[in-house]
Amino acid sequence: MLVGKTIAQYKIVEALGKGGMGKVCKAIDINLNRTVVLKLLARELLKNENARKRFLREARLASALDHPNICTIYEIQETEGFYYIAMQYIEGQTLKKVINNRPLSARAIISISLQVADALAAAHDCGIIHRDIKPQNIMLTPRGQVKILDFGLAKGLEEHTALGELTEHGQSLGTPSYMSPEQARGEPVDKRTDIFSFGIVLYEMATGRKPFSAENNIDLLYMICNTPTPRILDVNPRAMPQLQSIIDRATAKTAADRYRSMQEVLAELKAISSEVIQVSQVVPDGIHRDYTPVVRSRWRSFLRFFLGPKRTFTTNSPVDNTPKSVSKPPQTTVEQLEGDDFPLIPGQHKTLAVLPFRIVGTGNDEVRLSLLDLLVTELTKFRSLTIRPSSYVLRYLNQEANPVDVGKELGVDAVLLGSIIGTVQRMRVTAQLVNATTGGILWAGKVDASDPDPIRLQDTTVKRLVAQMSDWHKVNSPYELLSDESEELRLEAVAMLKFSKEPKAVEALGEALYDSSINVKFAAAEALSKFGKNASAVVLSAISDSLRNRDYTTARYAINAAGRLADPEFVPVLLEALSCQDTFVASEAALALGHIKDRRAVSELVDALLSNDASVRFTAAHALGELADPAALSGLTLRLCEDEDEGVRAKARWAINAIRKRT
Amino acid sequence: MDAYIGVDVGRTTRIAVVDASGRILSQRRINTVLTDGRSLVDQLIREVVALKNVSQQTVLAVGVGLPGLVDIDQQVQILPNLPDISAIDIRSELAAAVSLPVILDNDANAATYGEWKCGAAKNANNLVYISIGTGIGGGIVLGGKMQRGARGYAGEFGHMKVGLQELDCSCGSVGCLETVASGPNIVRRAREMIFESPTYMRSVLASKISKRLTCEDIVEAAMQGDELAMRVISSTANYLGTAIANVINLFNVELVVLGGPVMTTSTILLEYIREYLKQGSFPKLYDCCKLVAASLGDNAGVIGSAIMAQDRLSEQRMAARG
Ligand SMILES: Nc1ncnc2c1ncn2[C@@H]1O[C@H](COP(=O)(O)OP(=O)(O)O)[C@@H](O)[C@H]1O
Ligand SMILES: [Mg+2]
Ligand SMILES: [Zn+2]
Repeated sequence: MLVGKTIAQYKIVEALGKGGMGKVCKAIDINLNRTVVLKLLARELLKNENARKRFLREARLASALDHPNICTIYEIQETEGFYYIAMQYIEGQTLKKVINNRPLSARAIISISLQVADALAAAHDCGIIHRDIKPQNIMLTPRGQVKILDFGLAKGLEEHTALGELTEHGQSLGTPSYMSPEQARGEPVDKRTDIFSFGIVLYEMATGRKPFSAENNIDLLYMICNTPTPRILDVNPRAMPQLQSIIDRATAKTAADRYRSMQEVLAELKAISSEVIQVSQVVPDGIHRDYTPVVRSRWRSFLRFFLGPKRTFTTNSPVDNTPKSVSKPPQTTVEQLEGDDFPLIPGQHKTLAVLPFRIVGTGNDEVRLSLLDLLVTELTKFRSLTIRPSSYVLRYLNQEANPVDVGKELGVDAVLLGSIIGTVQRMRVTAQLVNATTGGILWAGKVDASDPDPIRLQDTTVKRLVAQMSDWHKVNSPYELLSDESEELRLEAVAMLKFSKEPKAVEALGEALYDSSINVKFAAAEALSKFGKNASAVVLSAISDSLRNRDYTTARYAINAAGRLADPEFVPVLLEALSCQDTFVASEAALALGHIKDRRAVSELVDALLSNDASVRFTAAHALGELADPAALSGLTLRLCEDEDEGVRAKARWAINAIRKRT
Repeated sequence: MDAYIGVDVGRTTRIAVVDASGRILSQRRINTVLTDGRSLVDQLIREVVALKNVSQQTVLAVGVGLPGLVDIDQQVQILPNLPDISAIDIRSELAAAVSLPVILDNDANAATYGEWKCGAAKNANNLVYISIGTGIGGGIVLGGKMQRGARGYAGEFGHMKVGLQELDCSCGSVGCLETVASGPNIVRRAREMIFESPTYMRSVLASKISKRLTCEDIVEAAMQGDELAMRVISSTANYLGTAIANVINLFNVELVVLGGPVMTTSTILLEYIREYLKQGSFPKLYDCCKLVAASLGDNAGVIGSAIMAQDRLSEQRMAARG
């Protein structure tokens, strides 16, 4: 009995189960007072020294993974007789329990698979392979967040699961159901083994069953290597047909026939996720309900950039089946928008193509075409948007078009597509704005309208749809975005502020110089340069403050801004910075002085040619070349002849030429 | 045994006693005096005389390779990277001091000669040799003969125009290959790039900029996959590959030999150059041309100038007899 025992600083409170590798228990870290999971590995599992070392190395490598969908490993230690791994305790259930032999809803599948795929893609990027992807190793929190367990832990145990070992002992550590053929044969594996296992998990989510089952493991392994993955629709007629091609390609027997990377899988999942939202099915309660995907990176950023920071792409609004009366005014009237330079997409110009909407049920092409024209006309009012004319998109009238392909063909950033259901007097239009690069949904909306007059009906429908779309921007303030946790959004906020005419933009950009990310700092420096004299005071105080506080990174980029602004007012503080001990601060100061071209800097720059710091000599030589003062010639000639750094010599030669040319 | 002295002048000067087959018997390496032209020449004469006097072989002639323009009348015109010596008749002074025939040539021509007679280009009849170091030099062999042009200046490979950057060159022109692809300029571009984008702060080179940075550092970092370094190497290769493509298209050479200190660091640059060369040249001409690394390394210059002196001597003897 382990419960009640203490291992190192961990007090074991509950046994969670006996996994293939050993015992798993819940424990309290007494030092940090947090709940953890301890996994105890029997030493016999790692027979020889090499296997042990390899296991530890892999596990420690994997423990460096930092991803919201990967269970964090705190430490890996060895004590008498066993290894233990302390990891994040995850509240929730394993995907195995969640599936519980029933197919999951389309949304659940998309949400879970997107998260798993994103985590795997991130791990693969770091060169880490999971090797044991299966529903038991995928945990789901009550909020629907995925956490993958046991990253990198399978490596040391690989030999036990190879075919030879299995036949010998007649049973395996775990089930080989999710193994790739190469793994089953005991061959070396790469990241494509995870892609295979992922495909099997996807199959199981779609059907509630494993694709291969057999009386014994030998037969099972044979099937993995030889039997094609069955079709999901044969097992579950209501499964999403789009998953079939992903599963087929992911579970190809030959690794070379599979996706080359999880990124590719991710892209396809994102593309089909758009269709899932359209299928507004009733979602069961509990863990089978609507998951909130952790939409990350560019995708989320693009979405928020288009539509405002507060909304995510899930359609949290329940589908309203009762048609709304037309008299109910839309939130934003079209009249309000007209003539205004309405920043549907703030700060940036985007191109958009509207595809002919699909007709569901009965209907004719005339309705489609007139809706298309109306939409294009309506959207053209947004000056920040360039809309492809209707004539461009007519070729998609009778073909199913993939938004990403359309995006490429028409050269647009986003594609608006949708469907029409209804009669002459009543219609429902659903629409999605899709990121044409990633296939992600940026916005989705729906309008129900009825009117005895068919022309007016179309008109109202379109205006309400466009009003809904444009409404999204309202929450999108760059000032708010500047404190967003996502670096990408902060960068976009800086890009928006760059063109602002408001005085408070300068203040905000000045603040952004103190951002924790150097990318944001750099972007802020560049943006500030667009404000000319108006930005000098803010930049000046940022330089002085950061130099005083020895915040050299901020100082460096504030100085960079000063160089771009080229205001002679900066010269004294830059001369001070020139003698700073920090390489980058001093170098940027020299570069800035070169841009400002103020004679007061010459003698100190000539002194800087004798610095011990090669970068300072280099940048000082550059600045003196820009200043083109003959007083620098002898100092530069000395650099040319005897600087130990070739780059400094090349720069000195350039500077000498520049001075000679000027005088 | 008969021997020849080969001299390769640069920021460091190398002097070697070489036998008739191109084998180095003994050699010295000295830091060149850079104060002024007179002192440089004095040092050169002193060192050659000293080596001749200690040599156990019978030295028959001296060949000197110089990094600049040397005309067919054996007069040094311009040394862009060294003090000016154009007013000094080095050949006569040196010949008088060592009492031997002396021959001067451009250093890259000498190295070309070395690779051609004893190195990677042995047996080739149509080739160019390009040396990448403090400067970029080259030599041309066509139809089995070294090509010197009207006044002896042919092969100034480093001053081909390839760059989009219109930088002033030591030759007085702008936009020459040398202003972007020579050793010092490779380091210069890396140093500049570090300040261009915060992404390069991740580069290992960014953490080294306060110290001495060399082409070796950059090549090494590029081999480790460092983004900044790879960009520098790849753009350098682009410049060089484009220039070499022009040469291939012009002369239909069978061999391009790349040498000089920058090339000796690793083959990564060569591999990148090959890619750009392929893009820039006529496929048929590319297919019948091999791109190889020099095989004599930094000995090409001394060996080449010694063998050149030997060949010149025998030509003169033949002429005297005939
Ligand atoms: N970090 C964790 N947080 C919460 N529960 C966990 C955690 N790790 C494992 N478990 C639970 O313990 C069970 C057994 O662990 P498992 O990973 O299956 O062991 P093994 O991988 O060694 O076969 C899991 O199915 C899960 O229910
Ligand atoms: Mg597990
Ligand atoms: Zn030139």
